[in-house]
Amino acid sequence: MTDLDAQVRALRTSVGLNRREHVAVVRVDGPDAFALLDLTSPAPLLLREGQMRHTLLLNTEACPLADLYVCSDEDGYVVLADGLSEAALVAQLEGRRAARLPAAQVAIHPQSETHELIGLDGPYAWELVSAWLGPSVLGMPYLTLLRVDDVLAFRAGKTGEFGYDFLVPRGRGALERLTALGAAFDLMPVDLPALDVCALENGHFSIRTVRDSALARPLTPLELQLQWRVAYQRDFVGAEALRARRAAGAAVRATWFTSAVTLAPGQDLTLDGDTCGQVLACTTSPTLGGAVGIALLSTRLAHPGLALVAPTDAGPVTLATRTAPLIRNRSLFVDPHRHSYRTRETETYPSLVLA
Amino acid sequence: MTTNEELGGYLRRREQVLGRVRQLLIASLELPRGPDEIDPDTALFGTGLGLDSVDAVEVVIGFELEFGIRLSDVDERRRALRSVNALVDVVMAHPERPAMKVAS
Repeated sequence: MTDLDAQVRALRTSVGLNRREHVAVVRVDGPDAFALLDLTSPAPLLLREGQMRHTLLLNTEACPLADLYVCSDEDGYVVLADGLSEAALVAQLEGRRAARLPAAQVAIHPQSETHELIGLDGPYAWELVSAWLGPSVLGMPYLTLLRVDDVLAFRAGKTGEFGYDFLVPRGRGALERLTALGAAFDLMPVDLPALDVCALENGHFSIRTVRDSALARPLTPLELQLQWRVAYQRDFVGAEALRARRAAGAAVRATWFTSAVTLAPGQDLTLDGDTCGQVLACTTSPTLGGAVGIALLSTRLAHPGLALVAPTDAGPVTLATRTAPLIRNRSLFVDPHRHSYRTRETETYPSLVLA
Repeated sequence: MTTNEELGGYLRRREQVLGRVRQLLIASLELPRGPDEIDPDTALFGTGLGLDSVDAVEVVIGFELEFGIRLSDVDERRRALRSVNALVDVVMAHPERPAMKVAS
């Protein structure tokens, strides 16, 4: 088992710990904080205190720059951005303010100097979190945040398992405390590639899929099946371009697939000998034992249930388009009211692999 | 699927069922979205449409009325309610049948 295999296995069956250094965190407050973030987010931000909205940061061409959570805290907002550095996130927000709300009274506070973001993911992440912060976190609904002492806990996650992020003050020993408590859960440090494998297995969007794409085609929420993060009638940066793209119709759509071997991004895909799309992303799936990926297919063919062929230099490779998620998440069967990691061997869980 | 005719038939039926599932979700949940705004792989719970347990009941009832398919098995229901496409998959696995419409 490779290191990556072990990390994915931990994310799927116990708990993985990740230092979310790929996520920029800023606080936004002031009388016009809502106005600025409302202009930034393609999704409506009617949030009660303690709620989060999963949205996107788009450029003027409606292409994603970052995977965004906007979180309503008691004193303002916390923005978590996967895909941008802290400086780049601040620049984006300041740029939007200068261009559209020059008189706005808004303060943007980068967090990295005083805080760090730590993540826990896995079917027993809730139990470790409860051991660390107390039972109040057990009742957190998905996409909510809760302050426990000096820790700000966010319930989110992009692996399909229980997932939490924690904004903790630096130098207070949070990581050490979690590591010590995590021994009882076989807690494993996991890297970003492992999280991205799990995201792909579960049909979750990763900003690195488009940022690292070998394809020259610009992709918007329309092609990426992310329209649920957008409200077309809203005014936001990129709205005009997105509405124009929608009016023209999407020529391609992201569609998940499985194959026996990993395919390179940009690899052509054919159906009955005719080119019908290209690979957008593909990776080995330790869970499934083969490869999982996303193809950009002609919209007419962008459906599960098709057998395509990738004419690679090593020979033709067959792949099957599938309905995401591609695995059966253990977290769907783990009940915080009844189950525990220490008694997991006494439980019978269905296979992670869908029939 | 080996022939163009089979492929065409599969895609036509899939698009038709997808359209009906979209309309079902919009009507039963009063979603402020047009059908084309609901992507096929949109998750129903958690992310995606963000439905709750009450919505799940509405969807299951509406699904049975629209397609005449009862999601009685717990595992089948859990799998079917993961995404729009997952609901479509359930219909595609059954032989075509007319909708069960209740007179208003």
